[in-house]
Amino acid sequence: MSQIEVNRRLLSENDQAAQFLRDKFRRSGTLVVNLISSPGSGKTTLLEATVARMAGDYRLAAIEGDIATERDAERLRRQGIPARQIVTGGACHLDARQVKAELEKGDWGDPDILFIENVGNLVCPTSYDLGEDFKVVVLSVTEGDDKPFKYPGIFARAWISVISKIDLLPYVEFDVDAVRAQVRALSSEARLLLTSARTGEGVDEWCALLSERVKEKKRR
Amino acid sequence: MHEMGIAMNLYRTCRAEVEKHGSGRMQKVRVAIGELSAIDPELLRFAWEATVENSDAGCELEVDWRRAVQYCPQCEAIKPRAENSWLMICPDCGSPLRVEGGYELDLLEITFESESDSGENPA
Repeated sequence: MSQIEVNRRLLSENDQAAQFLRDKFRRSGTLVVNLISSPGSGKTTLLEATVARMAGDYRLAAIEGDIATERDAERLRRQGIPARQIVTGGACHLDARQVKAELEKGDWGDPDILFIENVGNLVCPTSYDLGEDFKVVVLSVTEGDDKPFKYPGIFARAWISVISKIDLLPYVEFDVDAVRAQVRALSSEARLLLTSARTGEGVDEWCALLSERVKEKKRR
Repeated sequence: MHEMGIAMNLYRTCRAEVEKHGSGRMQKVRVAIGELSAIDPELLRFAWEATVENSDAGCELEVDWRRAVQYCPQCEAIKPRAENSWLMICPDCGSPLRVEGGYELDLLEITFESESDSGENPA
């Protein structure tokens, strides 16, 4: 009987691809944002509102992950930015190899910001590093205010927690302070943003944060 | 349910390691899984069994479960919490806590029956 001590990350294949992407994006000065949420929380809608505000000043691009359909990429292309769809055909998350393969299909120029919209799922995408600068978790007010503690992995890892659809707050029971306290307990560095893509509330603040981070990345 | 993908990735990594050390059938693989890693150990074991079925059937997957801790920088101490629950703030001083660890997703050790072991023992 022989024993080998390995002590290596279990997702080493994914991590290698993620490192490749991170190096590439460092050279091109592209800020990469990995958006994670449950299905229907409004990731694409937030991106549409973001594109409307930022596309004049920055080159934006998006990769959309979904189990089926090209819908989300089409929505963003209609906004005038290059967007590609990764159809996972059942897989519940994107992995770095898929993103790398998508980028290798052809040159996009070097966008200032690349949004990677993950498959709608609060669990599995958490484990996969996509070479991003940071993760963003989107939680809509209709999903309930207990989610951070129920899905601690993503809320502990996301740099920004976006509460979406706040225009619906008068109609649902959703305690923003409770969410804030849970998020703070899981990550002392996380930012909490309250947004409504419909009314535009909080979207400028979100765009300002992104724009701050792009500038920071370009300086390095 | 992405445990299947993880199990297959783990399997390829393990086999590659074993090949580097003289090949043979795997007996046991030990991994560390953190509670914030978004992996269910039971589902991973289940996926592992299916993955090794044709080549290393019966190879056990041992999971070292690693909990995240909540540390109070003010008290300079870890604050105990119940499984599957989180403290909002430090129960002793009211400070915000820091979550540490819990992201482990590591292959630790492989035990295998080396093909060179099955022959005559040189000792």
